[in-house]
Amino acid sequence: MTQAEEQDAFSLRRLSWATLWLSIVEGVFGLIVPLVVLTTVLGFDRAFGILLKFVFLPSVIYYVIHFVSFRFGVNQRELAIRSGVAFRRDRRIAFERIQDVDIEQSFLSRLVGMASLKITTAGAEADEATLKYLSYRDAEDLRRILVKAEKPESDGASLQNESEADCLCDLSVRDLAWGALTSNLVAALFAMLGAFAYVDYFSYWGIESFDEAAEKHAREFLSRYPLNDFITRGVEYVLFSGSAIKAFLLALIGALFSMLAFVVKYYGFRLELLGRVATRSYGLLTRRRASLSQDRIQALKLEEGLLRRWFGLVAIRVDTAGDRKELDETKKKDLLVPVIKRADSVGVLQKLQPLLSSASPPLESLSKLAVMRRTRLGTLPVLVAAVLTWFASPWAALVWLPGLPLIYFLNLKWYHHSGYWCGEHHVIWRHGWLNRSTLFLPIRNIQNVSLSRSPFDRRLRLATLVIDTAGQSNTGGGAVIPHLPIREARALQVQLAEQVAQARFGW
Amino acid sequence: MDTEESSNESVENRSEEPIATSVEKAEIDVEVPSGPPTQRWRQLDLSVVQLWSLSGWIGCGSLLLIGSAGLIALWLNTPAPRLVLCLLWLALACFFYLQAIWLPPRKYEAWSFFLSSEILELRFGVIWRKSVLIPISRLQHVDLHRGPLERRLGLSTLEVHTAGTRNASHQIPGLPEDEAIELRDELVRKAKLEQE
Repeated sequence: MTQAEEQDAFSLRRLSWATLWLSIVEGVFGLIVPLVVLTTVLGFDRAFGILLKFVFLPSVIYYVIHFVSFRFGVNQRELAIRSGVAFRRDRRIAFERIQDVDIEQSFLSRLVGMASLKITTAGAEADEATLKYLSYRDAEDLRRILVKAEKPESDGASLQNESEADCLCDLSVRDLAWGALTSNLVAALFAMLGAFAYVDYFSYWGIESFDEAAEKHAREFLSRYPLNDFITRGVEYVLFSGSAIKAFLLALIGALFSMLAFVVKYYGFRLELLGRVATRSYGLLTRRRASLSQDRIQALKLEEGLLRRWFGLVAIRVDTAGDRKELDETKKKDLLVPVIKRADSVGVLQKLQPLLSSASPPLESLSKLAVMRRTRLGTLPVLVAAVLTWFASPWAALVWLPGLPLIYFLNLKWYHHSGYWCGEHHVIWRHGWLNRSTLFLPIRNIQNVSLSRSPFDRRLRLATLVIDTAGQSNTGGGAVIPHLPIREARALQVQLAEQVAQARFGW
Repeated sequence: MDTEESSNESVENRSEEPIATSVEKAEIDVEVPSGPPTQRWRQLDLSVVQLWSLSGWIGCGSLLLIGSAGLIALWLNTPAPRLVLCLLWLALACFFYLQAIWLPPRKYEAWSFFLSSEILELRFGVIWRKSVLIPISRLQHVDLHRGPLERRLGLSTLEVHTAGTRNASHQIPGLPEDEAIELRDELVRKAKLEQE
């Protein structure tokens, strides 16, 4: 056997034995809710029988077959996975094609020291491979092998000890609580409160709210289930008391829950940088440890809603080429850094993107025409609504009147907060006021640059610049810079394309 | 149009600023939309107009026929308001006119592309004018399509793919067959050069 062949040889092995019983135990837990639901309909015996025969047993058989047929192994360059019985699948994943590696430990698997490993590559429909379960030590070892091999030329860095990792960000429960409190969700809840109060206000004017019908149904429902008196009173109070108090209580409960969920999800958050690999670990119940290489970053996004800006906080999102639209639903809430002080975020950005010369350079603004254009566009739905209301009652149409200056004000704010900057290695595009976000795109990862002009754009000699990069799903799309004067836009387009052509693209 | 000459030119002028001419063109383009292309800008084959109007005639024509039949049936058998039926038919006819007669020559006018040593630029769109710059080093792969109508007219469509998300792939329609193959080979060659 030559040396090259030796390097290519795999020693395939099985997943941990715990895979078998852990999957089965998790399956049992997963069946509790369906069992309860089915019991109310069919009675316990039949529900139990059905779930046992049609769900539990087949899944046990599946787990056993999966466990028996699944093998994996690594050599110097690749990860090999063999699975399937009837249709056998041999999959090779080159280390340098791996986008990110996640270790996930659910609460149960943490108790017994097991973990699952998820691997994402650029081309795959979903996660390229999931190894479930390995002992935590094995998973860590494997993760280290996979991510360290990402950049063969940075061998020096990869030989560093894990303990020498540079900690970029370490969040306490207090930080997380602040982050949750200032998130836009909370703001939305308070806005809802306002809306409730508003509706209530209308109901005083004799416009019947649908609350009343709902109230009647709810009372009937409650009378059928005689609960503990105290609970009944409490529920009654929340459901039927005056709308304002109700709204306030609901908003408060919602805020509390969202805060709790946020803290539980990101508990003990820590972001470390070792060589070129950034690793973040977090979670109270389900513990995650995700690694990604600096070079894989397609886009970084700072998110700072109005509330967060007041408190000087931001959140950071990241995109790699492995992120794609179909996965969006599950990945949407996943942040690189859930919350961080604005001042500290500059450091994190510069550590993650060493070539970024400045995290907040002076931005070029868009064409001044943008304000009026956006206002005109925003006015249209308001006018339509006003006309429709007019038919119901002419006076009520006046309700929409304050909307017009409000739209102008919002767009003015939008304009003042929006702008772009194009440096040697990065493009920065910031926009929004209520929900301001700043996008950082490494120029070497840009795929193409296009300019588009609608008939209205052409009349005003404006254009929209669209910068396309791979995997824009976490950050909600690449940079779309509207309302640019045509000459400026064209110059920028050509400049960017030339810079891209000169830079080397790496996945 | 002499493709060989222009491709040679762009290879020779590697170090010079071929894209600067396209900046000039852009400014011309701003003043006079879709003005006459300068020498290096390549246009599609003229027979693409035929292709587009033919597919317009077939696609929208059958739509018009079916729609008309349906409307006539409604006219004869139901008390549907006559004015609405007339307007519906008019809308159908307008759509047909736009797709089969009005649009094809204008689409042809708007289409042009330009290949410098590093960048492929595409210009197209009648109502929404678009210009796309694709650095050749970012090409993932290049496809050549030939539909039945295209085969009849001796045309091909070249599709270039990048790894982007929204505008990942772009098509250059209506290229004469040999020119399409030549362009594809040139793109692949340049992409390879870039890789090295």
